[in-house]
Amino acid sequence: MNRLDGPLDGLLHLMDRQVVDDEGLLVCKCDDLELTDRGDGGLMVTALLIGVPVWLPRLHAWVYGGWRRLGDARSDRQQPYRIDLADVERVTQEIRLRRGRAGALERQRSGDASVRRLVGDLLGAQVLGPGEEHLGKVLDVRLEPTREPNDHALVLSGLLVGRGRPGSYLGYDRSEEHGPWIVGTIVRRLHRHSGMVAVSHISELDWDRHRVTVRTGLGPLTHSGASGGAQC
Amino acid sequence: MVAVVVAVSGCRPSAPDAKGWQSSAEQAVSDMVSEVATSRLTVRQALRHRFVGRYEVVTLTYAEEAARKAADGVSSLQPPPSARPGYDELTAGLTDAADAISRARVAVTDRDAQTARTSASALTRELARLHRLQDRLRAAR
Amino acid sequence: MKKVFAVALGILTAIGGFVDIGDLVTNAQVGARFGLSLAWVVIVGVVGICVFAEMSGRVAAVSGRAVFDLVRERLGPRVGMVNLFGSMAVTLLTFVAEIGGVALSLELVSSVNEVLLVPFVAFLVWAVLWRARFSVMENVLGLLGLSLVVFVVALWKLGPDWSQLAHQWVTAAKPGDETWWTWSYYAVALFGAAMTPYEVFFFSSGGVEEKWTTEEMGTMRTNVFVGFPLGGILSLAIAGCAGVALGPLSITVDSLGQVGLPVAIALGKLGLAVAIVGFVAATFGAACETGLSAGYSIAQYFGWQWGKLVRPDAAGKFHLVLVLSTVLATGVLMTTVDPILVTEVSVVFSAVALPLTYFPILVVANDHDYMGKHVNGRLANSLGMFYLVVIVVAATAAIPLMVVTGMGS
Repeated sequence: MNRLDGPLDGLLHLMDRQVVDDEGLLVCKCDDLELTDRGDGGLMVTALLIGVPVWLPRLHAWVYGGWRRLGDARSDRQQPYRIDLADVERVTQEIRLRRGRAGALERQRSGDASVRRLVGDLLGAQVLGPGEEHLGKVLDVRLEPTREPNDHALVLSGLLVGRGRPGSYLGYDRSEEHGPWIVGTIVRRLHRHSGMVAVSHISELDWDRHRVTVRTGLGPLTHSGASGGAQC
Repeated sequence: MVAVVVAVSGCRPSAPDAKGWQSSAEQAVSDMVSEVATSRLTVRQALRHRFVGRYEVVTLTYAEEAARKAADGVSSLQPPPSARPGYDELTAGLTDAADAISRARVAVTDRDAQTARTSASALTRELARLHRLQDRLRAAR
Repeated sequence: MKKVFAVALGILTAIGGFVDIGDLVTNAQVGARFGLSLAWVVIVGVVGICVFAEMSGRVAAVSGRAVFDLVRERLGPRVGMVNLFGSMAVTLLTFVAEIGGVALSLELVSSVNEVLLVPFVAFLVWAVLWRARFSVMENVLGLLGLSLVVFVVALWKLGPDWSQLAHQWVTAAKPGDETWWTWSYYAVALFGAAMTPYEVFFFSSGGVEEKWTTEEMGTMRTNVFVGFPLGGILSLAIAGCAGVALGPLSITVDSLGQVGLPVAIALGKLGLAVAIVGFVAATFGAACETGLSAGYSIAQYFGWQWGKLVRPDAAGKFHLVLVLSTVLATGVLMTTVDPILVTEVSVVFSAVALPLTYFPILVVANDHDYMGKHVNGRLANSLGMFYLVVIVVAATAAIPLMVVTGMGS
């Protein structure tokens, strides 16, 4: 079951997944996702991002700050590597590429203002509802494949919003039958104020102030398709 | 103030109080009992040709090193006044036991069965002496 | 017929591979001081490792991925990094102890100083990790490790009072001259030695190395549920021998030579030779496993190609980690630190690191995405949760007990 065929979640299904090449050799782990703002409010995931510049900040901003200060001579040191989604053949419990491992990772070009990152820029952003009501933070994004046959990017169709930190669900929100029972119950209780917002309801996305303003309140959480069996 | 306290307590030679001395002495004697018993057992089994390679030599060498450490550990301490009377007997007992282990090790390494038999008896005597020391230390608690 | 042979081989390898230097030393120490009164800890530990080894083996067979591989995916890079740090620290400490253990075992035969043997042993370990086929390595060392069954024979030959031994075991009767603090400290140490954290990660990665599928699950379960407990019996035999031959003489175990003395007494030259073969095989096998585990952990966190199932040049960073680990371990041992002391420290810290290891396994084994219909059932989950509680108790108590008892003196 290729997850790229239907709706999927960015953090849950793509992030930290093992990337494997067409021969089954292990390539890397996906450390972040490249978001491209195609204007008219259309946000797309266009590539997987890999490397110290995107992995280290996820440990702690302070560690990343230290690493940044260690060297500034190389111009592209802050640029992560990317794997374009066109190279991705399917997403099951690993991300399988269409090509071999050699040369699969390329440095991201710097300076494009419309290019953002999922973890760095969108996750954890404050979400404000009508009347400046604080709805929560962005915990994950719902993605869908585009309708065009040759466009491999994924369209952002919704935001998962709630209290707590992104990833602290441990995935228990998205599937009902996860045991052990007690862990799932505890996690679900901690996240009972979560919900979804469709992208069409976003009125303003302020990257610099790390804020999203939406026109409506939170809708109910929906599951992104049945969780497939193993080795699908 | 803290620096003074640390400096005083970290003096050479290390001078424990009565309770500290008691526990150090008891620990040293019980360690020595273990090493002497190990040595005696090893020598006896060596005389019965129960070992392969250099097993008995290595085991005795480790026992000897541990015995020396136990004996030196106590003799390098400054005994509190209450322990002064029994001090000489204690250090002599420990040193003699360590020496007996050394002689046993020498005999076994040289494959000298006669001396090995003598040293086994010597180790038995040291063991008895150490047990008496142990009883005396326990009575003094 | 071939299937029966494969199953038998698996069981025998599991038995022989169960004991490492931590088990050898800790069980002998406990046996000499406490007799069989702490035997129940070994049993609880063995059942625990069976529960989690089955889970991690199942993860490998069903998803084709090793457990540590999935830890970062499931729990995020931060928790994954904490886990990596903790696991690597304990695994490397154990690696140092195991290489030291091989050197000590060879010293007993040759009387060459253990420190001089370390570089030779380390090189040999690295060469096996570089060149030998995974299954050959596991099978040869596992079968040779079966030699430790000589301790069972020695215990029987020593002719102990079986009813007294049974009484000690059943009533967990602490000897009068020991305090409850030291008794608890050794219970935690024994628990850490039985439930060695690297073992379950290694088992899972090993399953991927040997390309397990759901077809192999039955064999895997037999290996775990029959092999590991029988391996646990070897541990108990070591403790029993020490308790019968050394305990009454007030001998406390602090060198490897003392561990083998009961076998020399009971069975003489032949028995002792077999025991030494067992020492070397058990510690060398464990050295290979811990070395590989260090490489597996780092490579699986960062997504690098790992494993002996591909050519070394396709897994460059993985093999580099193995080389560096071996050099580091050699360096530590060349400072003439006592390997027995390193072993004692490693089992205590193994106990501390247990929750880090076992909680993620429980989470991953419950994930439908990876496991499909082979997800944990109610029995596995109840046992898993019960052990998680026990593990957390042991982990929190470990360091305070170590400090209070001065490492069990």
